[in-house]
Amino acid sequence: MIEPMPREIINWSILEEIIYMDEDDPDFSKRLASQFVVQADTTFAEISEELKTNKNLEELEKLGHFLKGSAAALGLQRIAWACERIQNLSRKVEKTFPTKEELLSTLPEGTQIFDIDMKIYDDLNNGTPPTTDGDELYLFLIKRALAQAYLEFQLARNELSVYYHDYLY
Amino acid sequence: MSRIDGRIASNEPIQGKLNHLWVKIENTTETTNQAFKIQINDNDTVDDLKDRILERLNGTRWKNLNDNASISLGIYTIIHPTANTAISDSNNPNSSINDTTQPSHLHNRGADSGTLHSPIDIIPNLFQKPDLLPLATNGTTAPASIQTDSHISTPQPNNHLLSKLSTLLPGNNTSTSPKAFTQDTAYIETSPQRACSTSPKLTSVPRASIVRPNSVSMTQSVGQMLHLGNYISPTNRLYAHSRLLPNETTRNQTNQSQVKNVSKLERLNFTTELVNRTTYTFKVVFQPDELAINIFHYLFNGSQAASDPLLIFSSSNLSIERSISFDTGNNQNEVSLPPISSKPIDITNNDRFSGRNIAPLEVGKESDEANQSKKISISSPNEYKTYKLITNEKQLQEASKMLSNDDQLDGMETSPKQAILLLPKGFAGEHQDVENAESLHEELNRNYENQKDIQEAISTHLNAKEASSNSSSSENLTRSLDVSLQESETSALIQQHHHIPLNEQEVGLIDSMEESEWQKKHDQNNEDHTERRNESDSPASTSSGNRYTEDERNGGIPIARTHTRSVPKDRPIPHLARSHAKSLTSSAQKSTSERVFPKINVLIVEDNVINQAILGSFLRKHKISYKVAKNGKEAVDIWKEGGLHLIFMDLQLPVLSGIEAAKQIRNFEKEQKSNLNQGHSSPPVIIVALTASNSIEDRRNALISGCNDYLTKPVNLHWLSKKITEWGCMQALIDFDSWKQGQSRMTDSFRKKSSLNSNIGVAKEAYRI
Repeated sequence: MIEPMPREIINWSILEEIIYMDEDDPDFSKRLASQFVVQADTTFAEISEELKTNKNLEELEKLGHFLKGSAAALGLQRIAWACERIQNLSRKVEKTFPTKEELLSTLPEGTQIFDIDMKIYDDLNNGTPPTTDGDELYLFLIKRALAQAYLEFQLARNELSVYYHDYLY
Repeated sequence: MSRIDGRIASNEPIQGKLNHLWVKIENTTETTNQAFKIQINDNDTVDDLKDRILERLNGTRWKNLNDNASISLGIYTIIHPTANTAISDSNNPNSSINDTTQPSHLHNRGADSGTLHSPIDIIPNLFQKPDLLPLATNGTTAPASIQTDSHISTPQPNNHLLSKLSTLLPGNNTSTSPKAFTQDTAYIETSPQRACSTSPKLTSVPRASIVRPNSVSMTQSVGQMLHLGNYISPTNRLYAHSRLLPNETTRNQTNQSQVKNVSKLERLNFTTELVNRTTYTFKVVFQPDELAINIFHYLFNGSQAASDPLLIFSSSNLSIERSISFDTGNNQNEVSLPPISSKPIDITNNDRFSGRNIAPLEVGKESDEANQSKKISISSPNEYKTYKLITNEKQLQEASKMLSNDDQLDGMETSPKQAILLLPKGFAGEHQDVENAESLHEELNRNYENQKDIQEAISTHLNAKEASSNSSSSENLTRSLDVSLQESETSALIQQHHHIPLNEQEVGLIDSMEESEWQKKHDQNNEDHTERRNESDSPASTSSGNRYTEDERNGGIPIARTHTRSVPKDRPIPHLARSHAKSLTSSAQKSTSERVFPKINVLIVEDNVINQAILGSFLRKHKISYKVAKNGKEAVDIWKEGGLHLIFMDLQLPVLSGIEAAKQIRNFEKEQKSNLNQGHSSPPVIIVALTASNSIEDRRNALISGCNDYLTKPVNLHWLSKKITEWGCMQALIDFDSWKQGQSRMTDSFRKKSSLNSNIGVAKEAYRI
């Protein structure tokens, strides 16, 4: 049974705890957010690479876990959720992944998705699930989870950029 | 403190200027007592100055009665009790800009820190009286009545010194800021107090030179300082730099941690003593090692009139000075001890504390490595008093009766003295609770005019037991540290029949607790504290190591310590103190949580830099030192270096998982223990697993592998702060000595408090029989 995806892109009560530390260290939370953007970009690339080349589930599990940790710590709960799916699919404790329609419907109303993000999302979601029960299925589902994580990342980045009045690279 | 005769001459050409201080013998019977000038050189200490005064007065009768050790220099000042109520963060000495126009700042530590924790604050509070005129004069014998309260800045134009001092005081009520706090604590007056007290009653009657036997004085070695942090005149800078020179021996050490803030280095060192509780007149006595030139510059702003002389206090044949020294090793902050007649006494000596003949004994040697030193100065102005050890309630009652008889006979307001009777652990008490409550009721009827207050107090008294048992371990721990000598956990019973119930605020026993808890509870707690001490069987649970060592020192024999309070019995002090405490509470909150956080060394084991940064920033915010390890192997390596108290261990780590690292650490700990066989091995580190999921399996594995606790990521930082307190206290319970070491910065403040508490509480003026 897959845990339902949280609705809000950012769990502000968590992020605010970090923003609270800006008192002592101005821009601390913003630096962290920027750092996360870099880290997420890197990690997504690594996952993508892993899916294409080694297809090592253990490695994928670590990558998913890694990104989940920092996403959750920053309150980026939808990313963390998607990363947890990658983690669990890699460990084969989950065997399904919701459809993209289901997932998109969980987004808060009025959430804007840029065309380019939507395109990447659709591209990654392409393909038909393998009929076999082997690693192929998990890898396929991981790829879809990655697509979701990536979309969520873009949404979170947008929201953070709005908050900090500065686009986060 | 070298005193080279030739120095005067040799310094003159360099300085090119001669300064003089007007001094006057305070309270002498000599008819021709006039202020006279004493030349001061730049390097003269107060001690040197005293020598010169004695030299000058050579041949006089006064000189025959006094020597360097029996005199001290100081001034009288008034500290209005409301000083503590007006606390403003904007007064932070680090940040205030307005202050630059002022010549200097006297940071009165007696009114500082804005917290209820420090007994320092409490002394003035004890005697507060709302209807008091802020500028009550203190009689003929106090030529310079100075109001040190900056918040009631009503300088008297006619009094040069007064106006000086009132500008000197920016109100150092700002130690709630971390910076100021550490700064304060970094400097500890370890010198035994120079109490040259004469009569404590600075009433309008000119005082005789000999103190009345049964007068009572409240003496504290507060280590108050004239703080000159923001004075930025060229002279001052010069001085600040000179303080940085390596051959400035006494205080450079203490300032090492403050090198950042050069302007804060100078300060005047003094102790205060309450001499008149009605007018809040405090005697400010400068420490013997204080530079005279500083007093000259900062107190008198370089120009002193003969009408504002520095007073020469004489303790010759008037006072007994004693100090109890717990020389437990931390001399880091030790300033050079003044050459005084005080001798350390051993509080484990259960014999009568009689007269002046106190044998020096060293206590607490076993904790030399504990890096903690407590100096307790005790002074009594009264040499005729004898001290009696009271070890049971009956004795206390008898003593109390005699005391009250004395009072009646004398017809004086020599205030009831209070005693905290320390009884063996588990002492049930001859008083039943009901009886307690009844006598308390009477007491309260007398003391409280306000009926509501009575009811409150009674109900809280009756609930006190419950309340105390509810207090968390951290609370108790911190309290026990605060009051290590007060022994709050042992049965402390107030002899209440003739006396006002002791208010916790007055003794400096404030439970520290987590900030939010404080907010929630503080109203109620203030009530509780008021009466908690009446509990004959206060909780002996969660005793900390401090208590333990105390017991060891005492050899299991309870020691009676009395608390003297110079308050007439009909003054509703508890109520006032309580309301005052409330007003202080809000400002105390910040430092409360800061103080609660134990000084522990934490290791963060986390591979994700973002999580490292978050935890690290959190710990920095709470002034907890930490290291970071990227993986389990690094964690084990860093742990082997030693000194860690707490490890936050992420479970899923590269190279070596958190589970494995925890197992390895536990195995090494076992090896260490069996190798040493001495029980001297470092205590087990507390390992807290950071689990990324809610998976029960993860948690179980973590606990099996040797983790003590777990946190689910993302870590709730608010909750984490609670847990750190808890773990830190656990650590303290496991191994108090090493915890104390980690605590050393903290204990500076505790030590100060302890010395104060002891000042108040330990056998200072025990019962006269």
